[in-house]
Amino acid sequence: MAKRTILIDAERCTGCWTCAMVCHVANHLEEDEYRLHVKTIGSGGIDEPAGEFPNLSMSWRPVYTKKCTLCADRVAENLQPYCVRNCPSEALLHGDLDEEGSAIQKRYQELQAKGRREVKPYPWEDCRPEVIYMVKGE
Amino acid sequence: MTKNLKMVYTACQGYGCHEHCTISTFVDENGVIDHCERMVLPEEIQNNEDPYYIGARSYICHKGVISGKIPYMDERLRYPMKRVGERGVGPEAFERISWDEALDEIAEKLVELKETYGPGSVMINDFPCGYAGMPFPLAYTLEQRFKFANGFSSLEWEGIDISVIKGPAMFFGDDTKSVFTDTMNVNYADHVIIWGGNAIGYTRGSHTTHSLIKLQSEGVKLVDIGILFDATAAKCDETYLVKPASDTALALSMANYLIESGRVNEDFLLRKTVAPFLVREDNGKFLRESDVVEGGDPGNYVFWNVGTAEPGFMTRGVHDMGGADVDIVANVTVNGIACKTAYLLLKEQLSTYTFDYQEAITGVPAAQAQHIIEEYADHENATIWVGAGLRYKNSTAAVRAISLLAMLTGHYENKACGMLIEGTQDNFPVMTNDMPVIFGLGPKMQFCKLALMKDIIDSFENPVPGQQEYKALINLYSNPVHNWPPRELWEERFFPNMELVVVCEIRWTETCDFADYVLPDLTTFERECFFVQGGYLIQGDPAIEPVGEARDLAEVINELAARMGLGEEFSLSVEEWQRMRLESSDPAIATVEPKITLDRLREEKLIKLNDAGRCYHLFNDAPINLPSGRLEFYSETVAGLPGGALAAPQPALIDDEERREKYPLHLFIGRSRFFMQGQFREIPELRKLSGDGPRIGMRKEDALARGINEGDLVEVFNERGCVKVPCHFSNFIQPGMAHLWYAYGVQDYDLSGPATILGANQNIDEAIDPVAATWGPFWRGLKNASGMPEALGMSSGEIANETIWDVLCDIRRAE
Repeated sequence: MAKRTILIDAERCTGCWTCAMVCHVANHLEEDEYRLHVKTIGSGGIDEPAGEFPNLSMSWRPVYTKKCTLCADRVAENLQPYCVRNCPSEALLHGDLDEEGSAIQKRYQELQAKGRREVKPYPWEDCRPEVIYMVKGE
Repeated sequence: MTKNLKMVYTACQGYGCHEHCTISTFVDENGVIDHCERMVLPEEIQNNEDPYYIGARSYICHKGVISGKIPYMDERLRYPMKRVGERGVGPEAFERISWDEALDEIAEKLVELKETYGPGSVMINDFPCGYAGMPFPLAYTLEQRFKFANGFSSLEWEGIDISVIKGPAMFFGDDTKSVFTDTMNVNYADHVIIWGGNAIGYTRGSHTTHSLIKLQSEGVKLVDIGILFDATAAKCDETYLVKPASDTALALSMANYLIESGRVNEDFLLRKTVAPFLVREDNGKFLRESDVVEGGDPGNYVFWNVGTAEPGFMTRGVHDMGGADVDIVANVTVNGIACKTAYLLLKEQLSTYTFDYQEAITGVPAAQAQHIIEEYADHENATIWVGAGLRYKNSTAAVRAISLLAMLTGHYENKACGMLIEGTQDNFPVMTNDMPVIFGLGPKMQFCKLALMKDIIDSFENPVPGQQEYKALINLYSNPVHNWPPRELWEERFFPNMELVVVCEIRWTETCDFADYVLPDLTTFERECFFVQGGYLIQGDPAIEPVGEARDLAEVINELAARMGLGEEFSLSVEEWQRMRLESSDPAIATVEPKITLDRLREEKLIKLNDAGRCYHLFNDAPINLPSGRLEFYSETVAGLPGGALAAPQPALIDDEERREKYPLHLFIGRSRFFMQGQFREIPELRKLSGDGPRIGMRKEDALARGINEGDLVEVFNERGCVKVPCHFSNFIQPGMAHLWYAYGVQDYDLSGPATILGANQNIDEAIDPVAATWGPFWRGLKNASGMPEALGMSSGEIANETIWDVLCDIRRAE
């Protein structure tokens, strides 16, 4: 059984919401319904940075809720999940992390070699457990 | 697929960001758009042995993936409409009519106006930047034929981001290189400065974002210079926030440092610029051979050969200095004429712009400014990505100053072009066979003039005998009432003088409010169109049937022309015109085997073009169209005018200090990253991500100092008007700034006019700035010299056709 994982290279995420929006549209969700959304790590609102001018910072995390199916139907047909397929900065990968030589495993190893740290979603965010964030820093 | 979906290629509806993406549109069995995704080019398919292969070559953004909702939106135009009520009221003043009625009535009125006031009385506004697939849709080509067949005027395009095009054009001699900048050259960069734009994840959210993020992941440093802490600022390795409208000071101090620190590329300056040429002190003109020797060539320039202590002569377009020992800083008297080299003049003028000087203006510490320019100069393939976000008075001067950095370092010649302009085409130029379509009119060909806004207004308010009267506007692709502020100019001074206004659009816009007839155009999802991306000619098939009675604008132009007695000139069908356009002599198309035909394109959908997949190099791939054939950082054309001959004018602040005392806040009327174009503003999902309605962003301390709290209703005002909106504390702007999202329309403001009533432009006499006015004569002279009909494409007259979005304002609590 393949160990399916969404690997998120957080340093590549630009907070553009393409992942969330293509999932929302392609799955014909209600206006306010998202299976994944993009969280700004800042001061609260979308694209609102933390800190005081000029020492500001901002980053983003795609948050996969439990409603996300990891596009099981698409994957069964050898297609990538909508979010992965359409991310313009290639911040997202999907696949079997244990599969030798797979693209996702290669990227995981590359990021590890760069000193990126593996972070799981926060428990209170009630996320898909298959998601791994690779982030900079301690 | 789990669903039975048909896929067609589509030029993204949101073309105005200039990423120019092709997207894949999926349609369900009922003929309704299911969703849109990134297009997959054949190279990717061939390499896609791994189903998770991610070596993608075409991309999409959040707007593209939701753009399939646009054909079905409530504001979509579905039927021809005729105004029966007051002008300016809105849709309720219109009633539905048939296409035959609309076209008959419009044609009759146009013929009447032509006969009564002359053909120049009818203006066509064909500002096309937001039209999907540009410049390839047939409508764009055919409406120009329509213009020349009738002799109609071409309404001056106001530039909303003209500085990035005009600034470099002063160096290069035309706007072509700016317009055709292929930003994919950024992939060759080893150091990138993003200056004056929010490219990452926003204005260039697709392939450009991909390139920049990929470069960064490979260790290339990204540096941001801007006024906001936006997505680009957050993603870059180094971010420098400059005070609004102070970019020129920073650029000039950097240019001065390049000279003072010996970081200039003298070889490049001698070969490719006017640096070694002597300039006469008496009249500011270049010294010519004919000034020095009797019978000398008046076209030849003069340099000073320090080896022979004699003048040397240089023919236009020659770059080899013939081994002469050139004194690039010569200060000599030749034949009794005192001269200095253009380089020495630049050096002297720049000498006052120190890093300390700029620090007082920009807020960037001197040491940081030095660090930025040293890193740029010291990298082999460094480039500056100049964004289209410089939208303040005299921002053309700012981009001209930034251009100095690429020139002094010689980086213009590097693989990444040294400077990349967020221009419009962003592709290797590929030309379809459009000239016979536009100009193949034989004796029916009529000369068309450019209608300048200042002349139009003058003709209404100060008419004199013989002056062209303007009576009608045919507005094809854009929404000038909203996009080209101030609104007052259109509402109170332009439209009341129009006897006929026809608007062709896909949705109800602010400009439709002032129309007599509104004609529904097709969205990109409903029309057949070919276009170019990634080195391919691509067949864009209609994804869906037209909504309502919307029709292809090309077809409408054909029918309108026939009703005006031009049936012979417009006798071909849409399909026949398209076949003719593919008979191109451009080698990219003409040398493809088997021959490219419409039938082949319809069958294959994608055809690889010859040589068109490579990057178009801004500097190396085209000659310089200036008298010297070199980069002219010194322009004798504008010597003596307020902007100055040198690309080192005074730093252009937004306005004078006296006005700043009255209106102390810098209002940035920016674009929300979720709907940077008005056509996306009614998509509920995107609205909600952008705050779901207009509000003024203020820093908390600036708000509290005015007794304003979060959520308070406030008045944002300047001498042009007052906008009432709630206040929102924002910390991504600098102290002393305020911001509003531009795209929210008049219907989103319950209590006042929209943000754009506060904006300004420089295209009418009372608004023109003398420094900006310098560019007009330069521009017009070039156009006239090139022989290009002035009504073809963007041009400007004696004044700058630049719209200013950044303005000064103050804010108070609303009563």
